[in-house]
Amino acid sequence: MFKKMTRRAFIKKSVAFSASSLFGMSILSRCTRNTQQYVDITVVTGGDYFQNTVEAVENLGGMGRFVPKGSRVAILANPQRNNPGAYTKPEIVRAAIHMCKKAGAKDVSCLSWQPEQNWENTGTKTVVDEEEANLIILNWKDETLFKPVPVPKGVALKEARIMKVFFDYDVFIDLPITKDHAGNKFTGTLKNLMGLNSPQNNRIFHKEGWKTDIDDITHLDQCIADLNTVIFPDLCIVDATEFITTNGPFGPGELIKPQKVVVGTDRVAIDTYCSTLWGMKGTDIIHISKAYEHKLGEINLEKVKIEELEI
Amino acid sequence: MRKLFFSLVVLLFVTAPHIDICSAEQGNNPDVTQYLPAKSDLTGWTAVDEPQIAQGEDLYLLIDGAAEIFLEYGFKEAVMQSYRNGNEKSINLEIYEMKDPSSAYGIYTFRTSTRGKGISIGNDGRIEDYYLNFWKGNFLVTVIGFDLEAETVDDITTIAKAVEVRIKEDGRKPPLTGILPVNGLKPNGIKYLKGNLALYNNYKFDSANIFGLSEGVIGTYEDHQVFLFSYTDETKCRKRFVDGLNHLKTNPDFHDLTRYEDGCTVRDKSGKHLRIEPYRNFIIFVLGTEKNTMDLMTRQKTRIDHSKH
Repeated sequence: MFKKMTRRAFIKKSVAFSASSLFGMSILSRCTRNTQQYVDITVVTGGDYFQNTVEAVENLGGMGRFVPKGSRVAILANPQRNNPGAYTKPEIVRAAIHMCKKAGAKDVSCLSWQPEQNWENTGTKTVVDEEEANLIILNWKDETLFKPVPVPKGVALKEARIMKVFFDYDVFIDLPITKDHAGNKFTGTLKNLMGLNSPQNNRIFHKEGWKTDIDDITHLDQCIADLNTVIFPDLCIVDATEFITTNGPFGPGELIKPQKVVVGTDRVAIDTYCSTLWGMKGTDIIHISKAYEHKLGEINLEKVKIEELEI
Repeated sequence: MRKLFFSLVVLLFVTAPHIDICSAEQGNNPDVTQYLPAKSDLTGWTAVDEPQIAQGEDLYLLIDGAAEIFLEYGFKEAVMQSYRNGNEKSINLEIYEMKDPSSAYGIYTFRTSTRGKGISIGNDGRIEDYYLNFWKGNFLVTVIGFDLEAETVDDITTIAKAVEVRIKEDGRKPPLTGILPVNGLKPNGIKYLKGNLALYNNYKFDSANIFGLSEGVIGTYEDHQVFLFSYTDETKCRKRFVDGLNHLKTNPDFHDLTRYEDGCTVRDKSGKHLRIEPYRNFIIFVLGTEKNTMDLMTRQKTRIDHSKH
């Protein structure tokens, strides 16, 4: 269900919407959910990406709904490469940090095992510094920094290896850019969680046993869906402003500019929505379908309350 | 002697797991850095940081999920270098050394499209929006600007040329690409395939390699596409054809599969008509309309008859 509003309508709006049926609460979230009802996904379109982010989160009840006062917040952005449309826009990261601080977060940290060079080249490090958040970059070679986490519902992935530091945080915000991926055609909230998992462990996502069948594209997708059964973001903010639709995830590739920021908590629904931005359906993407089979969210957008705003 | 052998084994054990992306100054300085432009080639542009280098499967650590497709085509080594000028503009240079010229050509076709325009650099130099690609010898070279301004395009062209002159090797396109009919082929309308991942990104038969593809080519024409998969012999080809068809029969994305003596027709989920036939050591797929696929199939067979492949 889609509903479009202009900025004026957005400001005047006072109607609450029925809440999303959350498929499993966060393993980290200790906040009490607001009983007020909201739409499942808010999409804000406009040229000011900071403002898009702020208004999208506000429309879902504001950051205070997700970030209790005094909490510690972990943010997972994607600073993969400074090629156009290949990394989360710094202004969206800035907005997320800014709102967390305003909501009373004790500290806000961007977690990553990507090289610091990526954070610098994409301009994201500057934003993190300016907003007085922490940038915690792990040495990806050091496996002791990652905690073995059983994946009891895993079909292909039986054990993940998640950053140990991640478990020190109360709230987790998943902050990917949606874009093409040569392996499985799509990157979004679900795929982004590989950024919390050790690169060594991620290797087995790409090739089962690391040295075996490269033909099995489904294996990567199943592992992504499996990983998502043990990590539950409290909030997902997706950069769908400018992104590559070919040669992903690294680029360079064909760039489209929908200028949208997509916010919600249902990863399957959000990724399904984002896939439609370049002519696909959720069911076209294997890992979205597999996540739906894991009951991680809704793949049928007819059943999802989506509010689209323009500013 | 035993002591020396033991020391070598220990050394191998210690170093082997640590082969990884590295900077040129870290002592591990592979040959691929020799293709980076010299300072004197770059008027107004300065290298930012050290170049990043990856070898073999460690490409995953440099470009993450994008590595898979390079590995499918046959990847050896890559170097990436960023440059900045006085106006704080940036350019990224990526040089990929592939296994052989067919690998370089293949990954080039994967990463380029029918958009953009040709430019006389290396083989098939092509500018698409804000980036330029060419292949030469075993190399794919990509230069990325960050805007569409004429000055930026000039600068990425200059850098591309500086790399091109450093690559002395040349290479030929795989012979398979010459079997596609030339008439009506779109500019840069060929995709050369070395596995199912490339195929899956261009046309989705199945996530599994149901036709056992290891070498193929796709030609894009105005109103249709031709896929040509090559096999080592006719028997293997016919077996792969039967295996693939059995999978398609159970695939809900394909409808109205009809067998005839030499092959079959089927409708894909976008409503396109797909005619498939094994012919000699090839499986030919023609994706078009009900009206044109039969004639186009005949045209492709004639082309094969006249080729030396």
